[in-house]
Amino acid sequence: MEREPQPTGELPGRVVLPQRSSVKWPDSSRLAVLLTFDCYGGEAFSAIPFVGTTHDFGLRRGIWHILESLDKLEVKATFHVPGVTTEAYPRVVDAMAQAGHEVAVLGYRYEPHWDFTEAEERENINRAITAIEGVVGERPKGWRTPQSRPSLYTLELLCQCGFVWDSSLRNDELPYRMEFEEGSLIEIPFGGATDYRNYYGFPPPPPPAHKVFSVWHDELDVLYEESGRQCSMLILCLHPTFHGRPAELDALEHFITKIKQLDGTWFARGSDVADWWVQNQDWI
Amino acid sequence: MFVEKPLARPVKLPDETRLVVLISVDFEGHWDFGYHTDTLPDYYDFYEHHFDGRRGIWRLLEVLAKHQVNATFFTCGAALEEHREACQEIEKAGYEIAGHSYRHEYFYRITAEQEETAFQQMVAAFQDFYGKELIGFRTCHPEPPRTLDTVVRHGLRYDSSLRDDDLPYILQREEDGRYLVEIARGANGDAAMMGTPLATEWGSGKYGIPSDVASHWEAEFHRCYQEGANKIEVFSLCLHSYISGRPSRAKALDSFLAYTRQFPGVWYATYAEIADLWLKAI
Repeated sequence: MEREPQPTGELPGRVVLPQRSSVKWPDSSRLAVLLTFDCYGGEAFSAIPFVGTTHDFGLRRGIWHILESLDKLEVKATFHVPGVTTEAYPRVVDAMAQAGHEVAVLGYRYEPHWDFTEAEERENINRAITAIEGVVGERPKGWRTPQSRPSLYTLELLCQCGFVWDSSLRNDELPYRMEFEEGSLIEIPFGGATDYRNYYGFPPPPPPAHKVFSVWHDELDVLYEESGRQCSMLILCLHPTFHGRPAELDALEHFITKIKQLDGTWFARGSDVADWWVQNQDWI
Repeated sequence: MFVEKPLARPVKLPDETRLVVLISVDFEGHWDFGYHTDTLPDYYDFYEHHFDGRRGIWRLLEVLAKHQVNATFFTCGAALEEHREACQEIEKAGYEIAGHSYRHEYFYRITAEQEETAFQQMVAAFQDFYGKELIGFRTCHPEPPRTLDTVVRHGLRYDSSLRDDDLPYILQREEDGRYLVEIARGANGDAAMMGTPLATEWGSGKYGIPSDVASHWEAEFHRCYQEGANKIEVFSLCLHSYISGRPSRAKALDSFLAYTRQFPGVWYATYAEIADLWLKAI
């Protein structure tokens, strides 16, 4: 099948937006909070990255600090892991699942999907599913395309491969449905100012931890205030290499603690939100 | 060729005006995205921009309404067509709508003929939406020298593409003596200071800290306000709804506007109002 973007440039698929004022979260919550982690190291690239082993800290060491911290705070997160990273760190991925977090996919490698043929991409998606299913014991339900760079086929292939939700696109603050011939997918958009990639990484220097988290506190303030009028969603995209370090982890713990003290916040995993969305189609 | 024409008489601001504040929003409705190939969008950048018409513009309109400040929306023709409801809100709130190309074409990358086509499409979309005369234009940075001719040929009164002054000035086309007010955009904006998503020739892809940026804007504003006691001063702030419509940036804008609201004698003008005042001083 040959694919073209829509005339506006949007990916193929029919977008079904919610009536924003009708959206409700479970238990009268007003703000859904999703802690998502993009978990990959040097193994996730076809060629050795010039940053060497810098990103390997995340899965070798950082993730254990994070798991301990989330356990202490009693919140569940969503870990997006590439297939090849799952093969390299099965014990880590198993620990994520055992602790009640969701393990979702981040491609087979941490590389854009834009140059795949449809057949290559299908194979790539299936390899990632096989890797995670082999460790976790069940098929993953959620997907994030590495670097938010899907192809024109990605979303429909995800639908065909049985995924329930995707979190690759960056154009909204509430979930929405994408419909295809084979069925539909719940899109859980993220990005903007709450993605680690826009502050950390290369070239250095990153801002100090308290500066980045001050932005996220501001995001929380605005979204929480607005959620008094209509439900909203705060979704952080974090990375074990950065947020497993002491200053960042400390700032993250303070941030989570602050959110927990607010009335009506719902710490949700990707599948919690997607399942809720599927069950409550009446607001569409 | 254009030459700068000195003013024949002083510009007369409304009584009690100590500082002119020009707030502008480039409303692109996602059309400034980068490409992976000639035809395939870079969907990382694409969907960051797509936030613009979906959510960003609405939050920005709320912040502006809260502080009751006037503004000018430099709007792409395609955004006028695709985001009718948002544009109607902009018009209803009394803001000025000006031109910002059709699909955010970078004029320095295309031929004069392609530029003319894009300009005509923009004017047509504007006429269809507004039914009024298009008065002003801002190019998608930077502007090739020929574009000033295009702007004058289409009968516009002002251009806001250049970056070389902090006060408006008059340009005169030598061939026919026609005037154009150049209202140069200042250094205060969200694209350069808050950051844009993609690493390009314009930015690193890294984000600034919105509250720090707001402090910087306050310092700039304060100096302009002080100097405005003795001479004409214009403070301009150039925003984008896909950037400043994100929560933390909207909060920074909110806090900055609250700061400016403490000062008496601030006139939050539209670009068209300023162009007309300067044309009266020729």
